[in-house]
Amino acid sequence: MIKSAGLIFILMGLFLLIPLSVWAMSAENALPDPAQEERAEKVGSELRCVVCQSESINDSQAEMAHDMRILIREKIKGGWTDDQILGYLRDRYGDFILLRPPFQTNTYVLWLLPFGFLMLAAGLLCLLFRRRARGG
Amino acid sequence: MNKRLGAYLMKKAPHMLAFVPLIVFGLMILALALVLEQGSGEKVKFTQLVDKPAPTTVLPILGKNQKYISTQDWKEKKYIVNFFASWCVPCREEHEFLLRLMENNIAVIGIAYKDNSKAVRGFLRVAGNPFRVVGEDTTGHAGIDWGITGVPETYIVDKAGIIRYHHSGPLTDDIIERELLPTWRDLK
Repeated sequence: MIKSAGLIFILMGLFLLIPLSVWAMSAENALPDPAQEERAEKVGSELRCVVCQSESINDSQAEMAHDMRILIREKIKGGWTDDQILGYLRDRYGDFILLRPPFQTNTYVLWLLPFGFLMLAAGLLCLLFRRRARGG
Repeated sequence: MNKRLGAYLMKKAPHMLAFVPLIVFGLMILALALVLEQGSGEKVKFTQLVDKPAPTTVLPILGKNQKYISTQDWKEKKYIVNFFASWCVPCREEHEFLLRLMENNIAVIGIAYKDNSKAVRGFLRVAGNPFRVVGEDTTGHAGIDWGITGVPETYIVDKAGIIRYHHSGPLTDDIIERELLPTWRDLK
């Protein structure tokens, strides 16, 4: 009895290891060329689903995300580069659609602040150690 | 930095310095909470295409075999584009306002978003047809081209083919009187 319960828990645990995004693109829509499909996956992972906000297009079940996945694949088939596709969607939905905010004037603070804090902390630590060393 | 003050604190009250990170952390949490609180309930607005050229959209015309509508054909006229669907409940709410625009002789192009011809025809027969022409966007790609996040969404395009106004969500009396009509009238 106890043994079988343990087995069930192990099995449940194993199921948790299966990434759900594997099912994001159904086989019928995937591009036949694996290299192109890989590009489509990569582009999709960089885009935020515009109707659900905290998911990538690859991970989202929303219809809009599904349509965008199809669109990405059509553009790739049509010879667009990854940057062209990202740019196309960014023109329409703004920086919001990019999960990784670009490094630009209005995001300098966002990108540099963590490093700023790190340097500040390092500086303070240095000061502290020097003082400790001097003070014995 | 005030060295003497620092040294004084280090000597006299090192335990007070220990609270500094905690206080800073607390302030950061507070700032974050305030920002989140302010933003709550507010939908992100996508109006990127306002003042940009309208996308060239070519779609099959509803009810006409092998005939296509292109936004290029509408150059030199100002027009309104309305994305709608027979399955969309808020679209029914705004329908009376679209009919009113038609009565005022305003050209509205309807784009049936992710719908089927039969359902769209049924919807327009029952509710009335406020559109000069209806294009069918079955894949939803024209919708993405215009940057919509759902239906209904409404755009005003001027004679030069530039988008001058974008409203996401159902039109209301207030929005028509205060935003849409003034923008429309201001355009030559």
